[in-house]
Amino acid sequence: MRKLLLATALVLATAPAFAADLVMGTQLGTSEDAIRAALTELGWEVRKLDTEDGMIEVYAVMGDKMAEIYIDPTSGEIVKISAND
Amino acid sequence: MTEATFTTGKGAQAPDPAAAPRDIRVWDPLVRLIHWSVAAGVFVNAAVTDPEKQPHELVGYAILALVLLRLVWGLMGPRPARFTSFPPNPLAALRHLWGLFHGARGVHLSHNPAGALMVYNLWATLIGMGATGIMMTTPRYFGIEWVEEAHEALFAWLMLSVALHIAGVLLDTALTRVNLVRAMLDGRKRLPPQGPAG
Repeated sequence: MRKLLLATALVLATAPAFAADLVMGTQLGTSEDAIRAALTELGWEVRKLDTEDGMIEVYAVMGDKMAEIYIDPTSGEIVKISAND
Repeated sequence: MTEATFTTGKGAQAPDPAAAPRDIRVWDPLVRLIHWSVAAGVFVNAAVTDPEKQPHELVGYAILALVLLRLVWGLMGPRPARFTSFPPNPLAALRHLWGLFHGARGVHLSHNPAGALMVYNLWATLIGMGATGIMMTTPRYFGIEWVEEAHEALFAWLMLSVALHIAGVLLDTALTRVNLVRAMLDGRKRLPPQGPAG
């Protein structure tokens, strides 16, 4: 029982990170091309890529997941992400 | 010179030429509630909510639901609220505008023909905005540029339409002396004493 609870807790704890694969600070790249390649590698379909307020803004889809990702082009890291799951 | 379209039925009392001024019920409470709620919703989504956040979506759903409810009401509501009381007729709309500028002071107990066209335009635009808005939240159309552009183009068209709608209401009110804003507030069109003969 204890093991089962532990396993459940582990699954629940890791599930969101696994599902999105992307979190704040994830390194994606400093150029639009690099970011597109990195996201495509992770299985995301990049729908739109542009620059907004000095950040690179990406709309990407994976299956039923939709994510709007902001990347700092100097560090190449995700600074903001909103996903639907 | 004068034309009056008096619609008889549940929503409109038969006008009594002797009594002046005459108060005639035109807009039922649901029509008025929907009108001002949609207006408020459009204002909120245009000026207050962040288009990328959930409140914008919720207000959008509410507006769409209200417009769809109005369409149902157009089939089964009181007489002045029904589509049959204001069929889309561009020629009649032009004639109405021409007449307005040439002394005709017709009073319509539903939308006047020009107002009717505007109403259908506003509904179609709002439904288009709702449809493209919902599309943007689905994986199939998320981040697809033309959907966003359509939503924005419809918004620009909506703003232009609202400006024309308000201008039309003020113009008609100034020329016919029937306060249309008041009619949408309390439901009654108050015909001026020497108003158009029925």
